[in-house]
Amino acid sequence: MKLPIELQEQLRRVCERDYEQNVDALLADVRGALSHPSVSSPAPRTPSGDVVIDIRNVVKEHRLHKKSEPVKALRGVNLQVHAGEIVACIGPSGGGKSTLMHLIGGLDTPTSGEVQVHGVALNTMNDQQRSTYRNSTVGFVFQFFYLQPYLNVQQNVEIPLMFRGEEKTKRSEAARAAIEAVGLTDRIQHLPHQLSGGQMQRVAIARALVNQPKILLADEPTGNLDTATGNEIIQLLERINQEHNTTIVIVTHDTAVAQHAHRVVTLSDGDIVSHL
Amino acid sequence: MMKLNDAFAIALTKFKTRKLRNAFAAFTISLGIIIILVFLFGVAGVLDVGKKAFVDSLGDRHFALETFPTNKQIQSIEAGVVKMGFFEGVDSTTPSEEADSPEKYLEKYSADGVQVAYLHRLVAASTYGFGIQRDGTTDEFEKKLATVGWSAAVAEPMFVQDFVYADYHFDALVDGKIPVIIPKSATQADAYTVPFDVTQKELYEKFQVNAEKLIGQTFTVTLSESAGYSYGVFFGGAENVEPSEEAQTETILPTKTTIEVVVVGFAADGFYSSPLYDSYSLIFPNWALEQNTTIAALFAEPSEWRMVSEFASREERDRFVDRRHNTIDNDPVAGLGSYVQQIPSRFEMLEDLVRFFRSAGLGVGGFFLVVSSFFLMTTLGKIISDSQKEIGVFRAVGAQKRDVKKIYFAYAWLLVTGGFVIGVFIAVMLDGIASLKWGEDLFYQMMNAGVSASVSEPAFLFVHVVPLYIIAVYAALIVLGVLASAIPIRRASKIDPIQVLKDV
Repeated sequence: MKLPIELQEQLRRVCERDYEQNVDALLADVRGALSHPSVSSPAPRTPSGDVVIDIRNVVKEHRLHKKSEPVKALRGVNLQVHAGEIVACIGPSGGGKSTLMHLIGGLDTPTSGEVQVHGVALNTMNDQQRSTYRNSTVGFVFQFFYLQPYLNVQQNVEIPLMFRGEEKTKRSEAARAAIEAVGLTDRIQHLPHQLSGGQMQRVAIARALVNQPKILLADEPTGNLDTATGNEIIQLLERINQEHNTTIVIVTHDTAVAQHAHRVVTLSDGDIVSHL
Repeated sequence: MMKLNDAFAIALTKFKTRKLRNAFAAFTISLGIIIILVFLFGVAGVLDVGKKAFVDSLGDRHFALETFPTNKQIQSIEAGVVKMGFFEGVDSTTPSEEADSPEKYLEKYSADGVQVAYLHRLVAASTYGFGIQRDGTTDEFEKKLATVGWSAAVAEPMFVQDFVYADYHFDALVDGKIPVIIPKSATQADAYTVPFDVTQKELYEKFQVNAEKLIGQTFTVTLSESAGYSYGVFFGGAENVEPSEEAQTETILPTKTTIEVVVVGFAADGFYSSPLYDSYSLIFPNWALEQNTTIAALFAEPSEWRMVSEFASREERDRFVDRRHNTIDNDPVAGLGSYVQQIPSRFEMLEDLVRFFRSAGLGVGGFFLVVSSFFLMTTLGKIISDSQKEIGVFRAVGAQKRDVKKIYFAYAWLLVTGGFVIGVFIAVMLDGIASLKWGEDLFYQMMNAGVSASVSEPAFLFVHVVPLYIIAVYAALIVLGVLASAIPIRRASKIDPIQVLKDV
């Protein structure tokens, strides 16, 4: 499901502007985009799946130092993400996008509130359980790929399965399938430095998919790629979403990416300021 | 949870990408191992070459005279007595007609005065050696060896000393002559004087041929008072050879005397002597043999062997010896067999020496092992510091803390094991090189100190790779490695992926 063309154009303009110093302007523009008269009645914005990620009143505070005053990265955020949905998180730097993603990914726990995934509250899990959760339920895609330079494509993709204690043959089979899914079968023995940026991100996606996660979390997946390659990556994510009904949460500044989302969530100053 | 072999696989792959740095780190870790094993393997090598005779025999004064040679008289010496194998009709080493038949032996050697009194007896024997180094140059050596075969059997004073201290005494003269035995390896003494164009092996082999001819031969040996002093000074260690005042003023008489000796057999290979001054000072203060005469002697003392056997302790024996010492005058013949210096046991000195080298190796090596552990800690800390993003990604994709620990413990194990392998290799190499360079010297010094009673021919490789040492050192290293790795690895497991994966 895509946003209407006019709304996409307005959103592009919103995203391209620098709102670092002016959150009000951002909100005004987003609201303007939403109330644009040329926009026809909005299409259903989310697939009809069950709620997979349920974020309720989540507050996250950081302290730079032990004695320093806490800084609120998230201020009572509420968000539900449905199965098979692609949600793009946009907003100014420091708005809380990445923090939100870390909470969904089980890398961090909220100061208050609750993050539930498939009905299970992540903040009730201990470190070991959250590791298992990250290994089995979510897949991460990073802006800078973070492939291990000393491991070839297949070995990089196999890593999550290693941490699951999977047998080598099964691991190899699953890795090959994931690599095939991202179209890099011919590069399977290559080391990361022998690949282009787009190919490296594909490997990273294959690594994120190899465990067949229900949720894919992508932090600026196109941020380090040229436009054409970025588009390819987005199309790939879209295809994964369609083929496997994988829920995808993307943190991005890239409007092209946001355009492909079923829903765009704007975070600013630790709060969701709009749903598009 | 990650399997251990996968952790090792990742660690190994990562390890290979930093070959040079890891090799350097492993080498540094190996320093302690090198030092420890050089000492341990070296000492073990020394023991090995000596067939452990010297250390094993230190406690009970048991000499494994395995190859007492052709005259078959002395089969073994233990508990202060010399078993006369021939006379017991037993010889397990080199059976021969003579060995099995005392009658035939006597028939053959009676002319040389070997007395029946020796038969059927376990005797306590006191051996005394004295002699003088051949003064021959290398050129002269061949000639002397050929014409005066026995003179190649240079003095074996240490042999004598060791025997004295082990309470061995013969109980009779042989036909009024002093019975002497000649160590088969006596030519090793020439290490001091014939270093150039005649190898020790050649000397040894020649002596093997000539030595057989000496049995039963009698010799007149000239003792010279002045020679003792001069040779003592010459060898630079004559602290026990103080010339008498008369000798110093050249007023003493007589200046020379002669004694008759008969060669009754050979000592086992491996008994070797210190320089000569010990010899003559041992027996005759201020007296020495004339040049070109070299013997080791067994002096018969019929009245004393029983006494010796009755000594309750070493101290008692020493007191006895000391009393005898005090009765000696300057008459060498009258004093035969009755003078013993109060010097520390060579064996005890050797025992101390071995203990010292072992302790030194373990001490210095242990210190370096600890230093290596600190180096391992810092190396691993640096590697982990460089790998923070990697650890962050591992954690993000599902690694548990213990998985991270496994990987870096595997990495530490590779470093430690690499260091260990390098250490063992270098230690063996160093011992080997040291053996090649100093082994020959060491061998003779060992013989000099009465180390081995069982070495049949010179062996200069003082390396013995003892598996137990390897296992023990490796185990110690692993323990230290685990301790040293614990802190950085714990830190690694606590790395927060959010912090390290923050993109710029």
